[in-house]
Amino acid sequence: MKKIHFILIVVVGAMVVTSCGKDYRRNPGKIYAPDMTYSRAYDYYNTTDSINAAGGTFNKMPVKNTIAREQGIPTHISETDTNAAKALQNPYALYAKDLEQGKRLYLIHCAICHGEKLDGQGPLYTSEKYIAAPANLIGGKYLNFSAGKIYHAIVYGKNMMGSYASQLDSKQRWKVVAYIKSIQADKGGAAFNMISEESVVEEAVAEHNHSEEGEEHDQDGDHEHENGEEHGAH
Amino acid sequence: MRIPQCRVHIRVLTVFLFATLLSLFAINTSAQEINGEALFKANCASCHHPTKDGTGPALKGVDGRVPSQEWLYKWVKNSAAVIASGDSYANDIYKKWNKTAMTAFQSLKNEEIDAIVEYVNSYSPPKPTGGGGGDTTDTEATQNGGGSTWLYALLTLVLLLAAFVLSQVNKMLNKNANDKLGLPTKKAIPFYRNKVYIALAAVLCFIGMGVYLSKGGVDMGRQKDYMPEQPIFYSHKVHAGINKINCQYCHSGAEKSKHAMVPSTNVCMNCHKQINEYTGDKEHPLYTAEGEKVNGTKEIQKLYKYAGWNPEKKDYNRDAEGNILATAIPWVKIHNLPDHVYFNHSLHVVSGKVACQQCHGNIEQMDEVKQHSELSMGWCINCHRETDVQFADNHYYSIFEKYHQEIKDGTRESVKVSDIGGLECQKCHY
Repeated sequence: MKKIHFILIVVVGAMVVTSCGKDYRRNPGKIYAPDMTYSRAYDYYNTTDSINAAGGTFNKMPVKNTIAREQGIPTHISETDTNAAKALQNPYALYAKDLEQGKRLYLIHCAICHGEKLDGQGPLYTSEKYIAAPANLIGGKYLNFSAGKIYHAIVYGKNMMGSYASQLDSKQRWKVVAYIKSIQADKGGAAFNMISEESVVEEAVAEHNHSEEGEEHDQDGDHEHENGEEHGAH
Repeated sequence: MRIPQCRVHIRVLTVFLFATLLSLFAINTSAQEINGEALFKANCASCHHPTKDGTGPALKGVDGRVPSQEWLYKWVKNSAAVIASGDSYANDIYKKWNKTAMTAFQSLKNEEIDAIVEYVNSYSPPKPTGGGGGDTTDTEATQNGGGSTWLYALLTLVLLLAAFVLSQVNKMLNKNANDKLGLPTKKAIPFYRNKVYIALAAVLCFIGMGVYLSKGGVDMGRQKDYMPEQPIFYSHKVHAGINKINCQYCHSGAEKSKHAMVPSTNVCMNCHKQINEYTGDKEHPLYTAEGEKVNGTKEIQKLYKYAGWNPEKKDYNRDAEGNILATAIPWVKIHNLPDHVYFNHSLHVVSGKVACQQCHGNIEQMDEVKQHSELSMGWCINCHRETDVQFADNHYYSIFEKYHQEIKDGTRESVKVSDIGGLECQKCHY
């Protein structure tokens, strides 16, 4: 008798324990400090309700005549001004290392349509999901596109291609352009001349400065944040 | 005798020559046969598709639609001139397609245009190939998993019932046997008044409450496995897995800033201006975690609403100043660190060279994203203890001269994150 009851309890207990086998949950659960977990201050991923209520805006262009940190002087070339775009030159000193970066960025942002080999046979097109044929960058008229024209296409898009200005900053764009031009030169395009002569010292300094600026940038952002909170407290 | 023989020879020779010429001519024409597919892909495919509308209309059956063959030749070679001539059909389609001018292809010959039309008319969309096998077994497995839980529950219930019936039968038989023998039956104490049971229940309750409280205390604020329902059923598996789009295509901030960034709608529209339906339903049907079927095409239409895109006009809705009337998609944030923790994506991705999947799990296999890692302090610290810093060729760490020297001397194998202050409170809490 007792044994049976004991077994019953164990079985029921085991059932209760094993019954919660879902590997996801829709509810985030409870938290210690809601005001810190769900930030009251405006932050990048905040819900949009409060901004909406305040009449805030989304998806707008940056304020006119402003330049983001670490960015070059804007070109002021409009979408339709293709002649000026054709003549546009790379304002940055690029080194062999930047070419590697250009390749990496190309593979992330461009290869999905234009293909790893720049032949316009990217996986999105060959799988017939994207029906418009992407430009073959190593053949036909695109082979002799000037660097400025490719840059222009990245900024404003071309035909069905959209603008990549929001994803690639101006230096990153020029790195991608340099990579494309270097491959085009191998495939019979104009000679490639966008890489400055390698200088070890210069490169190291540039790299060092860059990383320092990056650090400062992040810290600045956070100090502002803290200051803001302090002011609020006082 | 000799002359006629000679004549025969000449006759044979002429016939032979004629035949050779003919065959040569035949070979020549077959070499000149025009490849409509190649021409279409080289000249037309960036704006047209045989069966789907792109920048321009779908071209299948175009020869049946246009006023005449001659009209088509004229149009392809110089559409602007046809429109300018006031041709009503030309002006109608020009208006219908948002006044998008078609490039003039003056170098195309009439025969080449014919070949293109022939290719377009013979085009049939490729059938989706395989790839679904793994998924179906996946869903079957989960269904089986759900089924077996019910089976176990049922089995337990049946066993419980059997145990109860048997115990009752046992009691009855005992009583009957005792009655027959004339022995008094000991009155059974019900289990809820049995001291042993009460003690046992109390101990179990105590242990259970303890486990519940301590687990709740430890897990409080941790959101592992959190999978909120998002405003759009965006499948990372379809985008990053099946279509092989790089994580950083959309999350381009991961290498540049503290935040990986959720892309704004213009990034979605890079592809979705064109891709307006979900065609992978056979290859990979979409289901929510609860098992509800999702219509991918409808989800894309939700995107259009947020992005301010008018799929009929194939253009954005704009206000008077030309601003696109888009609103942000209210995505629900999954990976959330409280304000008192500092985390920087670019530091981990660029300097640390950590792959996205190490913290976020196999996102490219998730239809709905859930939090893969604990994101607890212990979890962070563990990784900082175990992970080697990429010291070689990394200017970011050039100030750690002592470690560089030790590596050079061979007295140090590696530098862990904890060695460069990865366990200091102020690294993340300031």
